[in-house]
Amino acid sequence: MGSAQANSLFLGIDVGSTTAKAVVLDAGGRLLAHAIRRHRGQIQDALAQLSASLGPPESFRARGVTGSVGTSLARELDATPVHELEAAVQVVRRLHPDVRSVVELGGQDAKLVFLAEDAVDDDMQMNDRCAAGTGATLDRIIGRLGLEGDWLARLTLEGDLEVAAKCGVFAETDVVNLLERGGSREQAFSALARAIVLQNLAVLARGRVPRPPVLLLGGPHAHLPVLRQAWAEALTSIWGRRGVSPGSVSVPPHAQLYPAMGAALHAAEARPALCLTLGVLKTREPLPGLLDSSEASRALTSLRSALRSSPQTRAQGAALHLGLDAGSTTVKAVLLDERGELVASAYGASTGDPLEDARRRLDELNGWARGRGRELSIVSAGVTGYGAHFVEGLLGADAAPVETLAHLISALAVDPQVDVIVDVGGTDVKVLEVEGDSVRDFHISNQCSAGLGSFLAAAAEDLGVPMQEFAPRALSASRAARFGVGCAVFMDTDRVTFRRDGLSSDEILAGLAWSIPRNVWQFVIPTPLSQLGRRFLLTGGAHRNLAVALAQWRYLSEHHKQVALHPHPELAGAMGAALAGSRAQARRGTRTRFRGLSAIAHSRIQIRRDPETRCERCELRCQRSFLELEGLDETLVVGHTCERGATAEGTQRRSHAHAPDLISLEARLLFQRLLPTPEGGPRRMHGPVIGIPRVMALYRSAPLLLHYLRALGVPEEDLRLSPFSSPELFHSGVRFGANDPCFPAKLVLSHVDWLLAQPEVSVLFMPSVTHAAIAVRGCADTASCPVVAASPYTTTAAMRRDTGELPRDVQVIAPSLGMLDPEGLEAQLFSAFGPLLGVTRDDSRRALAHGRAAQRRFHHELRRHGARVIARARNAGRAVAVMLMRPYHIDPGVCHGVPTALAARGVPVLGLSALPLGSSESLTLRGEQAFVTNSGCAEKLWAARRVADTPELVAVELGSFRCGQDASILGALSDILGGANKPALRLHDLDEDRPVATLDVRLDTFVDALRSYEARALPGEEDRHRSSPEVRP
Amino acid sequence: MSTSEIWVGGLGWPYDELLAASLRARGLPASTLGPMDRDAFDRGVAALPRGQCAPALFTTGALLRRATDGSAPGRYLRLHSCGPCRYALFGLGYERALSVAGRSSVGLLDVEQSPEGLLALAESESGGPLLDALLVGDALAERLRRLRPHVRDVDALEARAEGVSRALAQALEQGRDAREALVAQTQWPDDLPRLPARVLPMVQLIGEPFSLHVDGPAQLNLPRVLAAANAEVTLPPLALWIAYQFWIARQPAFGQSRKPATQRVGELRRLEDALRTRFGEIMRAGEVGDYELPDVDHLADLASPHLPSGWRAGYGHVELGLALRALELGRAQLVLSIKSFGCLPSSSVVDAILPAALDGRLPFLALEVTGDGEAARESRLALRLGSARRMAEAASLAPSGDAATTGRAPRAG
Repeated sequence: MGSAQANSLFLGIDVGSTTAKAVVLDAGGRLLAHAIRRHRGQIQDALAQLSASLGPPESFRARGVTGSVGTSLARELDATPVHELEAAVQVVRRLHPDVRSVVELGGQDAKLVFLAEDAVDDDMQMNDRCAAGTGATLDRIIGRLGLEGDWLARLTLEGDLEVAAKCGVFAETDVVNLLERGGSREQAFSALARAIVLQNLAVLARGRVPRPPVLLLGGPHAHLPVLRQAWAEALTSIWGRRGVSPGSVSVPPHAQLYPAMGAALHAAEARPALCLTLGVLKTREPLPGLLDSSEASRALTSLRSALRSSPQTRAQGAALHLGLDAGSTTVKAVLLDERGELVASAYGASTGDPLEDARRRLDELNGWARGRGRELSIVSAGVTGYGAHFVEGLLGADAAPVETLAHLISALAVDPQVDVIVDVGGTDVKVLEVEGDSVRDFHISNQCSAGLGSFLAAAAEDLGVPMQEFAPRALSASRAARFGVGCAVFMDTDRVTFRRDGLSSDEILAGLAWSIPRNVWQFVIPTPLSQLGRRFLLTGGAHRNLAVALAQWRYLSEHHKQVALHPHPELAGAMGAALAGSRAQARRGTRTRFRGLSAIAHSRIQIRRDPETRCERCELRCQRSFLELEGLDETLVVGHTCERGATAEGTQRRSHAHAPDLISLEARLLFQRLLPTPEGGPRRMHGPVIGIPRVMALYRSAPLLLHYLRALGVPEEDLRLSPFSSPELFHSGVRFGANDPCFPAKLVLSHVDWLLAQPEVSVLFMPSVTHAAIAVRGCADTASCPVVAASPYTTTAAMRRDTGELPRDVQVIAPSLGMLDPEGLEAQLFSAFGPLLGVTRDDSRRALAHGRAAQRRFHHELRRHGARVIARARNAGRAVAVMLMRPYHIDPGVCHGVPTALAARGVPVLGLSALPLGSSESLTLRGEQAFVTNSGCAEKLWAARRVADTPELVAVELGSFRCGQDASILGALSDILGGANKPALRLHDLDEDRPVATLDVRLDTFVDALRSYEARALPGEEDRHRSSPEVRP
Repeated sequence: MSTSEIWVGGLGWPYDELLAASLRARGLPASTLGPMDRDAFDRGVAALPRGQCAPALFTTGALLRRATDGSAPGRYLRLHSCGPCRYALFGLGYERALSVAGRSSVGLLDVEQSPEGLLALAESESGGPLLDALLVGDALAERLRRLRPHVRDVDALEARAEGVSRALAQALEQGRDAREALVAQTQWPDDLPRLPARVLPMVQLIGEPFSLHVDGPAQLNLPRVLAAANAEVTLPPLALWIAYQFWIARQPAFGQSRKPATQRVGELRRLEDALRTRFGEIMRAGEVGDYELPDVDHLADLASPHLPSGWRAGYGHVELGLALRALELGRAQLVLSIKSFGCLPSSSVVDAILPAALDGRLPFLALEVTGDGEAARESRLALRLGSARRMAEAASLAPSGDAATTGRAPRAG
């Protein structure tokens, strides 16, 4: 563009977290030219490219600049800064004056604007820290799956929503799992699009309804038509539910350029600067460089010498043992000789199709053999990893150990005295505490990928650094960026900030290396390092990176640990699987089950995953995949929780191996009629239908409250409880928005939404239970969590947000109920229901007495069953799993069927409410624990102590994501259970979606450790399972 | 009685040092825990299991730092202030962290916050001087806040304030009357050059006491940042927390319906009145005589249609009441809620209710304190401040209206 011409034109620049955009407008505001560049943190380079394309900024008549990064460049560019959202709205009002709502998705942010008619009171909302519903999430997954632009441009919505909306990292894990279980890419990306929309509605709209016409801006909307479809689908549904006339949902041309255009307009109209440039709100001192001491240099030399870059041995003998690790990010295959030494390996990224990936690895091994003029003679096969369920049948594996055991086997072969195995892989972190030849305790990260290899790889790619250069460059840095710990998305934001602040790529890489041990030991593992053993072995692909290995060494050495590195860290799982297979085959003494390379290569496989493969036997409605393999008579089923869904046809009957499940019993007892309604009370034929959300404190007080209402004459048909939670229920309601509390709190909105959709419900009973009556004593208080107690108010606030009224006319009864105050409780209940039902005070008192009797009956029955289950288990030398949980975890939609899954594995389960109480002294909390004020915390601490003191009891800790109450006792629970020298299963951070990927690993590892514990610690029959026979040769 | 040093921390500047000085005046060895800075935060993150709230992380980290700096073991003065929330369980975290660090000899000293304990403390010889220390802190902190947007050299202002804080601490340690000590320092900012008078938006900060009063990263340096962005800042005094404790003690015990005895209610009301009287005296001495101590009953009345005052946790209904009071007074153009990360009552309850309660009549923004996600946070704040500034300017140009409440001149400071 010529400079004379440019002098009459206006330049707008938008520099965000991922891209830099520039536009040229004429005096009339017409768009004449534009350019877009991904900057990858190299802002100046991107600006230079834009200049080269459009002309130097100083040649234009005026310049406007916007964007999260751009506004800080205002002085340098001699440009007028304007906030990107105000800039975009300026253009919207100019070009689309009838639009009422605007949604803009950027790289790291999301915005929603409710445009006011007077153009003064526009309500502008931006996401806070989390980038869950933004382009960052989409970019990650598009890159991970290698999706092409053409394919994305043609994609239309299909399938169901099966992807977590809450977090981009969680969503990525779900997408990969969906694919690995037979879902199509179309289904997976459609689910992701819906999740993005849901997340933005929940976080940004917070109860307000975007009115049509709706305009969608930003790069993701411009390039992904499927997103527009998802928005249209969701908004049309919401409009229908809220009585809003439907309208258009559209993406305009140049949807990603509106902020830049607005910046140019701002400059063109000579408006004053509209943006305040704030200083940095925090500072972070950098960490030291990784190689800042001679000691570190010596450690690096030692680690380097431990690593083997390739097999170091010729095969001893012709017989080879195959091991396959079908992980979610990479698939590895190894061949070991008779001594267990590595002969050959194959390694590649997972494509989401574990069967094809397995075939490719085998083909590569075969190619290796042919290259040496030999035929592969495989005499045993073992398989492990997330995809093992699928691959096991294809291979004909002799053993399929869960990957924790595979790593244990491999680690013991390297260091028989190892105390702690640290496996940092692609998608998770596993820390295994070893005792003898079994796993004494273990920790597995949840979906959060902050401490993982896949995060490092993605970050390196974003910096434009090939992975093979990561370690040398990180090691060369004299200082390191200090990343936060805990969340990969926040670390991504940190990365952008560090670039903006002038840190070099090498310093950022060094910081990323440091982030691994900091995340593992400060975020994933609640146990202090001082309480773990001394000899640590590093495995997992991330530790192949010497910068990461050195960071681990330095961190652990400061805590006086001995640190060694597995010679083939990325292959440890596959090697362990191979050893397990060889030992299993040797123990059987029969020919291997391995089907042979030819059969594997030519087998036809069909995987089905659709609504018809979903199991409908219970509320969990497990989404299964059916695998039909040529040559196998039966259909393999994957994805079921219990035996009822284990076959394609399914069955209603439990198998005899299904252990007692008192959680399911508790769920039934809570809501059933335990006592007949007393004679002589009020009788009603017709009355208001009372809707009660089946949430929160109702899971503790349902017997009392329901029997109270029945005793007041409310017929059963006039009590409408919402169903148990399910993904469908949750997603239907959560789009009407709320704050970001814990998952059980978010569920309240969905349950109330369900009740409001039942036209016969005219009263909503949402008690605010402030205090619980619990058996535990000695604590300062037994208050409900404030989020639980306030849930009626936060829910109705969200529901009133849009119009100031509830969506339809319904009477809300939300009394504050303190269960420890008999007089107050009676007064509140009478105040709530007396006038409504036309009953007397005496009626209410009698009804409350009846309710209390029912509540006592409930507890008595539950504890009676609990005592019986424990006694039977003790006699059989078996352990019973006690769920340390809060009352609402009884809801299968909240606990995600964990109790059922354990019972299906032969482990009896009961909740802490079913534990026999014991002596008064044993019920009393002491010491610092006496300061507990929360009922759930008090119960968990008491139950943990009971478990620790009772040999036949083991603990399963359940906790919901963002449960602040649980966080405050996490350390105490870890100390109590850790000192008990028995396995414990920790399932923290449960959220809206079932953690399919990691749940089976955790459950199988726990059950294996449990069986070892039973064998060594509980008296019983000699032939009970001891340690896995494959662990030692 | 133990003679080990009492460590005071977690109230922020200048409260920690003033309270420590007041304790020393009573013959008790006392010092501060040190700043609640990034170092303290990182130490807390390393020491505690994940999911803790920001105040737990900051205070644990600062406590560990102090416990391992070579000093003789002391006793940390702690509060169980947040009731049914988990602040009460910080002790579990402190004990564990100290034990892991090999510093189990460090003790924890509890302030008894029951109604009986408050009454006893208020009526003791120490009660008045300890209260005065906190009120002096309120006066100094408020004067500094008012001056920041209006002086040319903020660094010089803050250095001067730091010196005044030390002088006041010394005076309190010497047993001098708090009011007199303040009067003696009245002119401390007078010679600092001021900026020309101009219209500035007013930002009402709300939040839990820790995020409101503890300076530095615990509150994202927001008062400084806002002043640098040419905005005035108002926030309630720390004395409101004390008034809230008296108010709680007047209510039926949480979870109970039985009201306290009339006599006790009377005693507590007298204490509140005494607090209010003393507050006014100290604020006038500190040249911020119009600094208000909100009435907790009034805040409860404002909040009650949206959140019953019987709901109890942390600051309970107070945050909601403060925001609605800001709407009622019509002085602020923005309500900014500083959320300590993980503060359940603040983030998960009050922030969920406030948008509906304000109903668009007063802009509202919540910023969470963790140190993460900086870019989006700055952007959101810049957006809201921009519109607040325009509102203030439009109000100053309005043909009618109280000049004191529309684009007003800088407050006396």
